[in-house]
Amino acid sequence: MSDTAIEHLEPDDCWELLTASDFGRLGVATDEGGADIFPMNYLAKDRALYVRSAPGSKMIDLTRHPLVAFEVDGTRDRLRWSVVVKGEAQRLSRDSEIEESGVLGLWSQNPTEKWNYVRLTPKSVTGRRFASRRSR
Amino acid sequence: MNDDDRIERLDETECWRILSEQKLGRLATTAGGVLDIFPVNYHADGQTVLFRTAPGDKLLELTIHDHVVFEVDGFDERSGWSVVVKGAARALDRGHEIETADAVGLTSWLPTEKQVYVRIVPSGLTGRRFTRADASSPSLGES
Repeated sequence: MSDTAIEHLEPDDCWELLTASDFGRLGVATDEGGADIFPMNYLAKDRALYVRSAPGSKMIDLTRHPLVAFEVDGTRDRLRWSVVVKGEAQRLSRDSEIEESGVLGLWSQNPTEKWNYVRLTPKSVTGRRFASRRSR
Repeated sequence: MNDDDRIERLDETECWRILSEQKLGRLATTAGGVLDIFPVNYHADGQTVLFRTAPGDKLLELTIHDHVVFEVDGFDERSGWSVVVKGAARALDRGHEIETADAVGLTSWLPTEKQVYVRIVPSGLTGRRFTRADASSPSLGES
């Protein structure tokens, strides 16, 4: 099979797939020059991604390393796909921003003020799709 | 309530057990300070993580900066878990190494024609299991 079997997705297709899903992996840079990965739920809205970090968690050190990557993949109509959003993460500081984002709707339990809500503003969105070689 | 109360740290044996049960993980690289993430099919043998990739960008990144992070996760109705492997990645270029890797029967996630094997020797292995506090939250979805 040749590389031409891989379709590179247009931004509209990427966002359609991102909007239809709600689970991905956040990649962040670390002080040691390495990276870390965290699986988490997200919300895609108005071409931005919203996530939240656990109370008291240092998992997302935004002030030191705001550039992050978020990857989502899945299978649809026997086609495998993967979309990667790279961009800048910014903690939502105003209640109105948090309300308007809709990120609260990701979880039905009552959030506390300790949760950190984060918007990922994309600088690039890339996606690939190809036929699954075997059913999973 | 502290959220850490619901997070259980997994020991090394449990981490390798989880790694050995799955096939698809995500690899993060940081070449030139630029973070990227890729899905990869892999095989974990209890000591190292083996995957196949196209000899393109990803491999180039590994030769520039061989420290990678590899993550596998899963969930069921009550809990979710993730295992993160940190280590050095190296493309296999010796005949016997490649023969050993071939015996695993690993396929690349991407259907690319040319493929090379890469093996991660872990320098760190961490696992977490967390109770899903909100069982009514949206399904995490098949991935």
